[in-house]
Amino acid sequence: MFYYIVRRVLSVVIMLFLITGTTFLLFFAGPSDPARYTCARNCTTAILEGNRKALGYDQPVYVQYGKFVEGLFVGRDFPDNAALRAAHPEQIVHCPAPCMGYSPTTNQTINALVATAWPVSLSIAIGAFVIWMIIGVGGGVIAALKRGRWPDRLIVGSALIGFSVPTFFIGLILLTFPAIKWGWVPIPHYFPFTQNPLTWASNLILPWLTLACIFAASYIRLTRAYMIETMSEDYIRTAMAKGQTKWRIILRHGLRAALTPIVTAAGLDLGGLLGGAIITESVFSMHGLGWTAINAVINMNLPVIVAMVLIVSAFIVIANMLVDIAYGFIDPRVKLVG
Amino acid sequence: MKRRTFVAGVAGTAGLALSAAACSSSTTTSSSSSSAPAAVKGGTLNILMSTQTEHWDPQRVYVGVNIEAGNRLFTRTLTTWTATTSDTEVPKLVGDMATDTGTVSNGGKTWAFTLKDGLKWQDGTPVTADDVKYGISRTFAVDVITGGPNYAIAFLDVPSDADGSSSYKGPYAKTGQALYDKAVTVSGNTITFNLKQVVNDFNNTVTMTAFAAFKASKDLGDKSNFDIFSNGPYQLDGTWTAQKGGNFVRNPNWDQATDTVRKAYPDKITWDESLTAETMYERLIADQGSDQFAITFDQAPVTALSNVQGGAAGRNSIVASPYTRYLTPNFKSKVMSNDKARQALALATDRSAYVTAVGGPTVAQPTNSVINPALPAFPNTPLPAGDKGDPVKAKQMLQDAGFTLPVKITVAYRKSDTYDKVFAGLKAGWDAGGFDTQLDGFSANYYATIQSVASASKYDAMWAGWGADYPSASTDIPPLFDSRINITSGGAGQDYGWFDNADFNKEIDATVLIADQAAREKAWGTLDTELATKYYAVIPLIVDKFVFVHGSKVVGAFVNGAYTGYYDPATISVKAS
Repeated sequence: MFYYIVRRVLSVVIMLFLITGTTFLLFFAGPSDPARYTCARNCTTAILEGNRKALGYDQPVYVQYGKFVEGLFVGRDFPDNAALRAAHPEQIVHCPAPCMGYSPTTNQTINALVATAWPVSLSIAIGAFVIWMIIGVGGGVIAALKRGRWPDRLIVGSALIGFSVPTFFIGLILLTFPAIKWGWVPIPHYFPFTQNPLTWASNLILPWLTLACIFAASYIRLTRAYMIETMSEDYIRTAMAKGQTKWRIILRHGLRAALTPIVTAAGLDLGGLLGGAIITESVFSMHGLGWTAINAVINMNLPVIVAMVLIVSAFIVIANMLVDIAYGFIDPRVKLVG
Repeated sequence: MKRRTFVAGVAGTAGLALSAAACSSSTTTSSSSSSAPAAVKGGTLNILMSTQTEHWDPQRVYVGVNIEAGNRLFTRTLTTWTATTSDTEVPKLVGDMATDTGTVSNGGKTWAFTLKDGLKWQDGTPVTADDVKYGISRTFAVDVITGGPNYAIAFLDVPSDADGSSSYKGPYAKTGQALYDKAVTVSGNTITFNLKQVVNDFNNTVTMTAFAAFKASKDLGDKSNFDIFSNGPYQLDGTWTAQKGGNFVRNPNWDQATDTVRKAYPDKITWDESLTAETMYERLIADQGSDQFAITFDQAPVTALSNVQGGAAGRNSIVASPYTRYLTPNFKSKVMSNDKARQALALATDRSAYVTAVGGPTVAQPTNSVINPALPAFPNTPLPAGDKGDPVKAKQMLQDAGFTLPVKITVAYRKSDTYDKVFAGLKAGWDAGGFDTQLDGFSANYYATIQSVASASKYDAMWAGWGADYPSASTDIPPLFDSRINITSGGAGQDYGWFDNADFNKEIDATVLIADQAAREKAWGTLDTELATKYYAVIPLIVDKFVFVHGSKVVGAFVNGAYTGYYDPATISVKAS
């Protein structure tokens, strides 16, 4: 088990290096010149070169990547201009390790950017997760128990609709009617949990419901399918014959067994969502990691793009690893070999 | 204290406070018609935005919204434009920090401005001519202060290095500082500029915030990007959060007596740029709660256009923007080097198809001038054959000129879903006029590509867009059609059609020398008409329209069309409740 974990951690690190390195290459391989992007009209060659130098894009790609990696371990200074550092140290920003870079369009270190963006994505993900698990698993259990009858058809039918409607559509409907037109809930802005939990929740209810609609739908179907399979097992019949109460059988024996694959899927989904829900964040103008990533792509902001890729990949890859390891503990039939 | 006395005390204090508030709110009637509500001092104006501010650093601002908002709120300039009292009024140039619109001498190569007394920064220290000189010098530090206009580098009499860059490298490196100190001199309150060429509208150029003052002790280079240090009526309350916004409160050190343009009615201004355009316009049209006190500088997205006139009647503006879209025939192409071919292309151009494809008359209007309609120089050149063009006449013209029909041409444009539709419509018109149009739509590095030497042998015509930098057509005609400042061995510069005509260049030179502003602008207009109807060097297509909505409790929101084309905050106020 121990060696398995070590091997997995090592492969995570290697994968993250490969992913970020590829991102650097792709950014400069594209047809657009990123320095041209921030150079206004009347852009002469001299000014374009000045721009390139200010952004740090005048160095070869491998040098820039090397500096990025160095920053992660040792920290960096921005701008990386030795003459300026000597003459005007007050103009230099020092970014301590692990430094993910500096965003030229927002004039802040990416660490600072992530520190403000991550709580937003975390808030959206956690709230949505709780809601969709309750609705998804609960709905799936009921549908499985009432299989073939109208509660089942109603729940599965709603799940199908929830699953087919695109995220942005649900989000816009929820934003337009309950918030803007009817005023049932405030127009969502992000407020930190530490400021006021009630305001935090009332502003997040719409993004939570938006995501929950989509995810709950698939968890209803997932839970229903696994429950039906589990409830038809022999040991359930044995438990019933032994005279155990109905709900004890359903929850202790049926759901517990069905939960294993569901928890796996939930872990992966949550891991991906922690990296940001791009569409939901954009619809509700909440500046989480997803919104930051999209915004960076639109503005050709390389440092932020690389950092977002790193963070999102890290979440997904680590979530995968944790779920695989957890499997070794949860399911006694699984033995993880190093 | 006895309870009755206590209650009486509270009531008395409350009554006193209310009457004091009523007395202190002054009412000033706006200069427009008597039916317009009077402007009231006080309240909070909310600015909602969906585009993010890239820079507030005055030397780095190059976007119309931030030039205007910055100037009206916290960055005064030597001269500026008066606020407008209607969407179509043309503003006047007046002194802002300077006592007047400047003194010109030396045939237009030397300009002097004297600062007013009593100008202060938000910390109470005086704004000096040295602050102005320092601010302008920052433009020369091209590897730190990026993104702003480079008129200072182009106009000031500072020599250049062999590679074309200025010999003065800015106030941080200080290389060539003596050269800059010679070009810009300060004597007491007077700042004098020595220019390398005649610029008779230099007092217009300095309305850009790139020529605003900057306090040297506050300069942190790139770090100063969102640091707002004000000499205007408002100052930043706390900090500005990039991509989110900030709040502005009154600057106690701004003296209304020194400022004839800004009325500063609201007590507080909030700026929220975290929104998406569609949501923002839904809110503005719905007009609920605090949105009633809101304006925006972003124009309505296509999805909101159908609701604007219905849902926001009486509080919307549909105006011609400063941006013109046009086609440049390529003088280096075999076909387009023929005068009749260019004229035929102009005749066969169906501008109504363009307007329909982009979304109708609220989005665009046809034009035959590169200069935008709000500018004094606008010549209103008549269309050669109405909105739809005359393909029959065009075909005849090509035949008479000896061309074998159909004439094959390749046209480049910046690709997007909308523009695919636009050019499909234009192609139909041109093909009916005797051409066989091949369209090449692409978006990566569009402008860099069409100005390249390779494109000169590839395309017969290119689409482009342009807007004046400030309300003089000297920022329209020469930057786009003077071959001497554009065409190099490396490319066409902004003269995408490689138009190179010695007679026209002489006319430019003559116009630059005209001292009287009105006469000079009229002359630019004449040149604009010649480009479209004599040389056929350009086929102007449409002017973009801006559609804006504001909240119902906002008073005095008028578009300042010539200045930047957005609502002008200088005289906006909000109703008491």
